[in-house]
Amino acid sequence: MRKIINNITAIIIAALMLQCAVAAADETSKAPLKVDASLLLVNNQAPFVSVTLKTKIDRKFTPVADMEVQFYLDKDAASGGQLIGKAKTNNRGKLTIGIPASLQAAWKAAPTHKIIAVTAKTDKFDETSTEVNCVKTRVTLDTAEDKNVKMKLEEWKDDHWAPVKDAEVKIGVKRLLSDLNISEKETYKTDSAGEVVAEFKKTGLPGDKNGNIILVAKMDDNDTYGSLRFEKPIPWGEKYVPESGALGRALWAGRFHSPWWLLFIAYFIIIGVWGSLAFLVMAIFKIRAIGLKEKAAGK
Amino acid sequence: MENNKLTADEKLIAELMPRKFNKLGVIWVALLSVICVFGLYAYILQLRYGLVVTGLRDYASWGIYISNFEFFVSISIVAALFTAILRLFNVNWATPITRIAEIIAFSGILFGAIIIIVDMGRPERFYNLFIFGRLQSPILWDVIVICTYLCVSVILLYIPLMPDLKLLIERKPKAVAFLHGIYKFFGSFWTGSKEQEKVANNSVNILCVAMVPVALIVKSVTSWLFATTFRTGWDSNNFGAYFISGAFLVGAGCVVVAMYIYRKYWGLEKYITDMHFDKMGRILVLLALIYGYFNINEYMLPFFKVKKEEEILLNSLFSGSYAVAFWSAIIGGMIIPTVIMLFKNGRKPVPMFICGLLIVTGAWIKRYLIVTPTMLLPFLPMHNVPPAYTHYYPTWQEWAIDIATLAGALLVVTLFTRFFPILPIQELINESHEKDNK
Repeated sequence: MRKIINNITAIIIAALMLQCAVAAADETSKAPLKVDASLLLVNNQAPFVSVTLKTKIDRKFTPVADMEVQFYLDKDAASGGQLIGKAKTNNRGKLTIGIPASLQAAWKAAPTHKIIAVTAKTDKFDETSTEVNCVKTRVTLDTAEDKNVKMKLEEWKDDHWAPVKDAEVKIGVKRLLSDLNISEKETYKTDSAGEVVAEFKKTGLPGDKNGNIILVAKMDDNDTYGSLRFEKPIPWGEKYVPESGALGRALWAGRFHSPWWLLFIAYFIIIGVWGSLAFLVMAIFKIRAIGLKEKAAGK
Repeated sequence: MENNKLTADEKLIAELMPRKFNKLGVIWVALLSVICVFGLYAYILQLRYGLVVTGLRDYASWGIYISNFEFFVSISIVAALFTAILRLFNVNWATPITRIAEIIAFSGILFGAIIIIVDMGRPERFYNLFIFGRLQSPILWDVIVICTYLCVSVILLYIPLMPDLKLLIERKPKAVAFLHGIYKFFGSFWTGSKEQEKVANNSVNILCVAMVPVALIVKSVTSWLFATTFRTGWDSNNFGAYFISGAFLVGAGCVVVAMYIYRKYWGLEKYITDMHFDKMGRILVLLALIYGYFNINEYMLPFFKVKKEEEILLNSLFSGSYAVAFWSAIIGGMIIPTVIMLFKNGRKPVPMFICGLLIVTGAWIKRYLIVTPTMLLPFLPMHNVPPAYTHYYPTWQEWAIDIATLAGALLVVTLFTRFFPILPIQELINESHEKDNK
């Protein structure tokens, strides 16, 4: 019995000591910095890299604001990598950076790239480094067939564009705050030719004055290719010309729709006052003319 | 008799002709110039880096620039009171102070216009107000009335100055060529004939009639900039009358301060007498009581009804973070001067000067209290803004620019007295002749 009690006591003491050691280690080590980096390709242009920095405070992930991140192309600074740029995170711990014009030639020279995001050592965090692999991709949208959308997704491989198979994509129409699916189907999978065919089922969508709406093909957070977005205007919407005078003449209407009573009062005052001022300026000239005339007459 | 008259006129002209500054005057002008240059430097910084160098943020997008703007517009309508109203009512005792009121009005509206452009941050976009401005917007009304009042002030200053310009041409032949050129360009055609006097008098009378509504519109419109906005502290039907009464009070206070300084500095005791201070004291008491009445309307009624948002604002003014400033403005800037001026001895030059200073200082603080606390209390608090945005502390650049505009206004008023007669010489001569004829 005594042996059991001794063993339990030893275990408790050991647990307490371990706890103290962990606590002590926590106090001396820096908080972990979680770096999420992703790639975004818009309209087949050079990509953007988005980074989100988070740290754990009271067991909750909290954004790290105002922290500088440096980006390098292919190699890090120590290995002679070219600096893409540096930026600071916003209040939500996020930042986005694009490939500058000065690096476009280097970007085009190779089929794949690596973008390395580096945060420097600070009082709170250790130095971190995260890599994002960039595979060159291309999206095409074919809308030649009426109300049918054919999307093709390709990647640059072995000096030619090869189809991307089994990739999950979405096709929609750009609206004010989000994209609207063009049919009931939310996502599509590319076939062996890297293609997806979707039927455009939305009717009566208001477009611009020519009936143009923006068709959107996109891929979200793909492990290999990142996020892609391709937009193309198509005349499949309803023609919509906003009536600027829809509200009629009101205090809250546009500048060419002031209420008549306001126009009348304002112009009455303006013409009255400025008319008086013009009369007074003329009076000054009259005084001058009288004086000059009198002087000429030798009075 | 005729010779005596001539001698008296000559004496009056000699006494009221502008003279060189003495050492004190030179130091004063130099000091104001240095402040203006420093303010200009601060403004260049603001132009270069944007409004981020100020304390203005999403919450308090109006700060001491707008307080200063309100202050300048307030003092500028004083000409409507002393030139227009008193002239229309044939109040002859006010003749020596009309030009003081006119130059204060001109200087006030000029720097009011300047400070509003400073507040814009991007002055090169000012023309957009005219291209894209909506007539429904009080901002556009404000631009129109400020421009109009600036023109009115210039004409009001110029027409009564014509006869004195003629005197300057005759008596100041040794003035520097540029200055003499200005005198000649603007006044050489004045002969003082009856025909000219008739046109000039008619013009001044028309101007006085036009001046009163224009001045009231100017001040009303600047009050409507606030009152047409649905915000705690500004959502008031009382604002037009409240602002106009406050403007008359601070304008008259400025005139008293200027009267005292001009009298003391240029030795004008014979022309700006104790009687003038006494009368000004009576006017100031009346104006302070009217302004006090509108203050009661402005603060007591919301205090009685105690809407939640009003309660927060009033508590901050009455007993919170703005209490010292608020009670300084009410007690120091209104009640104490009123009590002092109720007594005959309180309407002597020195106490009147002190009262004027108290009123003017209180008025500036009051305009700060009208603008800032309300800005920091929106009905819908913003989300995801840094905590610093919910406070407003003017930066040194803002103070430098604000103080520079005040110094600039003082510089204009000061330099005017160096080159032009601060009292209307010809009018005083005419009045003395009329008195003699009676």
